[in-house]
Amino acid sequence: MLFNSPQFAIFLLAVLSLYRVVPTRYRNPLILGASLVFYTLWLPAYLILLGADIAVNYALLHGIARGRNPRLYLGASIAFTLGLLVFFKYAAMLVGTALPVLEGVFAVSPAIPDFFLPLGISFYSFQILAFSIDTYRGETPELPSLSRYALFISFFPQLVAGPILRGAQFLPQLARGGEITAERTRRGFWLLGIGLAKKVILADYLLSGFSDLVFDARGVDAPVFYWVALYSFAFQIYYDFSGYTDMARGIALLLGFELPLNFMEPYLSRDPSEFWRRWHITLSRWLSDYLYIPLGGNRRGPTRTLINLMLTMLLGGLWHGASWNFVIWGGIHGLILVIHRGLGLRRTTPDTPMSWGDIPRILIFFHLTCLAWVFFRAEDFAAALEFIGHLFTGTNTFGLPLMQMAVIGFCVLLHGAERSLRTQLPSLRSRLAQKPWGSALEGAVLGILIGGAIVTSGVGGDFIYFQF
Amino acid sequence: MPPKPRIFWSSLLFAGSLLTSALVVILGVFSLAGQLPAQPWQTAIGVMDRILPNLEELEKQALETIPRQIAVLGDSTVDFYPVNEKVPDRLQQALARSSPPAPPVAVTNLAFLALGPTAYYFLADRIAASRPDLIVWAVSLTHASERWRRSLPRPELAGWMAAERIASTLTMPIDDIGLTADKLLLYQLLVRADPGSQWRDLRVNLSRIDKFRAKSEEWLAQFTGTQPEKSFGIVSALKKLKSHKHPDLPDRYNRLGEIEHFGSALDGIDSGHPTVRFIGAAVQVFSEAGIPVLVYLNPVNIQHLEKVGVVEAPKLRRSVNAYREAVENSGGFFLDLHTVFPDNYFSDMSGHFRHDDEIEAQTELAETLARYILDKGILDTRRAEASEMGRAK
Repeated sequence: MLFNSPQFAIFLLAVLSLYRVVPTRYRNPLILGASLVFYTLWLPAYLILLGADIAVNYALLHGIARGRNPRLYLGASIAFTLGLLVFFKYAAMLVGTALPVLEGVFAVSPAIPDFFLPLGISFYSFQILAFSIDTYRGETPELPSLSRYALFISFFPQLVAGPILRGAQFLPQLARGGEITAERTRRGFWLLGIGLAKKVILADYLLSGFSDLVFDARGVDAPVFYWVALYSFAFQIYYDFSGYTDMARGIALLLGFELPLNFMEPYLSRDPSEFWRRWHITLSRWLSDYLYIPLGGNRRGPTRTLINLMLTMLLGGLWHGASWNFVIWGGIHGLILVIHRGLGLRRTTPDTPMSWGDIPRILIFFHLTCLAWVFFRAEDFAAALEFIGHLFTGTNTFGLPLMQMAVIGFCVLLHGAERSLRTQLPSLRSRLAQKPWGSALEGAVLGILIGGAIVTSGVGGDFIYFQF
Repeated sequence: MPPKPRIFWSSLLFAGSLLTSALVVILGVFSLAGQLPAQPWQTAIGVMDRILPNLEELEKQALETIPRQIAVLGDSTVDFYPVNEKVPDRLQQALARSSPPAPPVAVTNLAFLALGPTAYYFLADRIAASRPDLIVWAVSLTHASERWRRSLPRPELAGWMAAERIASTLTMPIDDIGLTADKLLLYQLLVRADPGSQWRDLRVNLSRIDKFRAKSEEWLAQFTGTQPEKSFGIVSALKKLKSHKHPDLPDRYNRLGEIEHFGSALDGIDSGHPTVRFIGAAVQVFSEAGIPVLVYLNPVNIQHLEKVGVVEAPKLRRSVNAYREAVENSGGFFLDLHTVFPDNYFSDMSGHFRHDDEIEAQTELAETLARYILDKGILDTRRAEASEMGRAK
């Protein structure tokens, strides 16, 4: 179920209504039931897969926590979880890649597997792995019950596209139960409304149409169109994914739970390491904690650090999709990180104050990010190279796409304003709440956002990250 | 615990303002967009507006056992909207002209643009409930292509399916046509709520909100004197079309176009292919209802496929056999007509048939069907016998 679909609106309304009326002790079982229904309503057969992943890993967790050979149990947990992920997500890519060798050398021609990607498998697999590793490291105080573990893995607001949760972060909340307050409910509605508007109005309606048109139009001679399409895609993927995460966080708040922030204005990054602290933050932290640092991180000398960085980014790219284009996309980001670190350039964090002098660095890094997006979006490697070629060659016989340029201009301004909105919206809302007409104004603004999302929803597509 | 008055009233204000504002935006935008005429192929309700009256007519006629009823199913190769030259009319005429004369027959058209195997799988029980004496169903090899399955599956028609078939439908490859359990239930809910024209208007207006964007584009265009996005779109669409068109034959695809048009059918498909499974399952529903089914495989422009070098006979035979086995194993009759027409019998690149002063392809097709029906005595097959046959197979 997509969050912007009428069936999800019905589902959410039913869940929230029941959630408010059942006794507190039944709330967690209710969300677990709702999460399983949510998953079943996608493709019922894959509930077995999710159930098996949860059950097997839960059994192995006991071995990790209390067994004589925890390393063995951890190995089994990793092998099982990654095995399912590789089988369902990457089998087609692996067989397809190996096919010429299999046919040429071994004279066998296996059929390329054609599975429908199980919903959210990349996200929940990473969540399972993180919890197994944390348990092995002794970073989980105690094992949760099976039902709580199942809820942690299958929590429906974040099941399909994150943010990726950690046990230490979310299990204590589950143990306490959802804490519903008027403030959380309002914040939840705001995040839901903003997320819906980002996804439906910006990503689907204003941005995707143009980028799809140009990315699919091979061989048309108009560099300005290609640049505008590239910017459109950059903002489309950001508003699509961050809008989805906002909705996930908003729904969790309506149930009384806090989910972590996943995006912080990534296109305001001044260097590559800052970008990965602003873009898909929970994934970046996962890759850092469970891949980069175990590989040795920066503790084994400068060369090994650069190799570790590159490996982490290549695998991070592959996580995004079963295609070599995603590996190339990860590789480009890895290369940017390696060059940046290798040259010893200044590194910033999101907490480093911004100044007007940062604009050139922001612009340079934004364009590098955009060029990398070409490999993420293009159909294949050849199409990506063709697209990049069109950026720099040709004549502008079609004039200027003024409408889309205006949309991009709006997105740039909005992205700049997002930082202030994120930091100042809570205090603005609490000030509004003091006014007698505050509720009416809040309701009206959200109503306009939701109304706008409904009328533009006929144009939209699926979440770009939906099957990741 | 009673709610605190302040929270209660502010929640009420909040919710009231939210709903009112959303409604104002929606109605405001719709009134500006204007009520635009809907085309029947644009919505599932539009399609059903065409199909349902014919089904009701069929049900009424089935009560009077004479004349016998034949229901014809198929896509634009059977019913090319808005041209009123259709296979059902021709079949009725062909049966009337036959020698020895066929029993009196009324042929009802249940075909419509882009109704393929999945659409008829969803409508199968509705059609079976109207109790025709025979179902004649046109299927094409293009139905197996990815292009058809991705862009023309009409999953919304699942809303008209009988509730008791939902569980078995979930075991079918519905993911292949973009249908998920939640959508299936929503469509069922919508059909049961009987929203009729309001829902269609809502869908049509939603799909046309782009009009605002087009207007803004026009307004901005006055500063440059051109409409670059529109012209770019047109040029890219033309380029794409050109890349699929045969350089010398204006009404035919080139190699690339044919590969996309027929898709996996050219590679040879088997019984596990989603299209084959939907065909078999739909025929099974008819057979279990005791209604004989004749599935015919539409003529394919083999001459042209050979000319552009995309057809390999063994692979194509494998695909045809997959269709045949699906139909026959489900108790239906299968008539393979994919080789019967030469190149000049096709009017366009989509495989529609010519009907002009020189060639009346639909009439010839209908006569072939009539001969097969009479030779095999399918129309005389009693429903119970057909049912037995279906079970035996």
